[in-house]
Amino acid sequence: MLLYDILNKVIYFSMGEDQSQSYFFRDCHEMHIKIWECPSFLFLILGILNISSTIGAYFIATSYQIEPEIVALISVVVAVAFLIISYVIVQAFSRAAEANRIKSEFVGIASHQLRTPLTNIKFALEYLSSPRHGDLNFNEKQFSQFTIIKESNERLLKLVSNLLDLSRIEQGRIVLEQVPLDLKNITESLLQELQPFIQVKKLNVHFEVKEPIAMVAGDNSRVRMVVQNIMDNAIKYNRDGGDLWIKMETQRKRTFLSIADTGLGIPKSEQRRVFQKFYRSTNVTLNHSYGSGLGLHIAKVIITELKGEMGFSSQEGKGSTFWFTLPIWEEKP
Amino acid sequence: MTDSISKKTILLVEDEEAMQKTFREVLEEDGFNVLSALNGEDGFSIAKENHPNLIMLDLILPRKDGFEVLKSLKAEDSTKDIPVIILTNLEGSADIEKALELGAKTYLVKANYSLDEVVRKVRSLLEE
Repeated sequence: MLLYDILNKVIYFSMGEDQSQSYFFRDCHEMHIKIWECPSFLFLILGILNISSTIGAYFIATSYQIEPEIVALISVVVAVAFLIISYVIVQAFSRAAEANRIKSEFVGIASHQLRTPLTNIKFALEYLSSPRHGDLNFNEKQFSQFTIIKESNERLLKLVSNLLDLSRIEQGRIVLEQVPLDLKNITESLLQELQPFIQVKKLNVHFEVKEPIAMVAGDNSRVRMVVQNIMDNAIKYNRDGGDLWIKMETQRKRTFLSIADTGLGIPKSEQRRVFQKFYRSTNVTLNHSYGSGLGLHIAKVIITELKGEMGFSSQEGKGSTFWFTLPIWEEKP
Repeated sequence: MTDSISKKTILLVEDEEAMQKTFREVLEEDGFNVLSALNGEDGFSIAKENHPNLIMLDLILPRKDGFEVLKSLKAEDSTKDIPVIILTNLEGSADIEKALELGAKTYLVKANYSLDEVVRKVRSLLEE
């Protein structure tokens, strides 16, 4: 561990603060891979060896002009060293890949196993809360506790679904459909669905659509999930009485959707990490303890897989705008 | 609710007893006659004996998985026309495609549907 820190400090000084913030050998450190087996470390050594051997070869060749055997011997030694290091790198990569595969598989299996009892709870709670199946006769306090159970279960289910998606993405098993989708319709129905949350926050919704909007090519449930993730954030992190701007237009064979809020915003220093998995902004975690930090990561992967683009702009204290584009649906000839 | 629908029989093939119990309650309250099985083999033999009007079938089942049950149902003359709703937590496109190819009418992922939505699907399939 000490070696990791020392090396990291060396890189910190040589590369500057910005690059080293991501902790150069973090992946190896986290996966408990020894420093001399860490691919990034070995590549560094290989690079240094490569450069110094080229320079060395020049000097050796000039000083031993009359003894070509020595030059040849040194070249062979260097070549063998390269070969050994390359072999170790390949081994290290496959170990890292295997560790990652096992982790994703574990997350996948665990999430699936968790989902079964959570779904049982969901259906049972729905049964209890539907007036069709009899009155619960709860007083106000009991009802509020009952609501906590329901909402917590929904959050757990959502988290487990996100983890399942993440493990599928990491195992390269996410398969997306390409069918014609009405993005405007999806957005409108989600706005309708989220109306209770919008009302609680007393948000002013502005929905600007530049007609005509073309159908896009995408996967219905996944695109819906992406729009919902962005909308959820824009509502959750907005200020009370704030604005929610939704803009949509079709241009140059792409349909564009942006959702802007007037909420917390993301600190500038953290903006490059927004789409990283498990990232949650520090100003958000101060007031909102829940949230998995997976929604935007998954959203970006899905939009990219669907050949669209996704981005954002944000100013701390003023709000954020998240947007994405998707290619319009074209009948295949 | 029409009388003709209410008297219909639904077979529930589901290895999770808790979930089976919830669905049984809801469907019986809605006036359906409910049969149930906790594994694939029993599910198929109950279907053969009782000819339910509709089958709700899970995919991960002991002793014969849902795909196998579906294959057997479609291969048997007396059961091949019974509509089957797949009700599972598997949501891979390959599983969905396979189940629909084998002849399932609808594929519902448990985590994504509410109890009422599932019951509505059941009703609409029976009304067809």
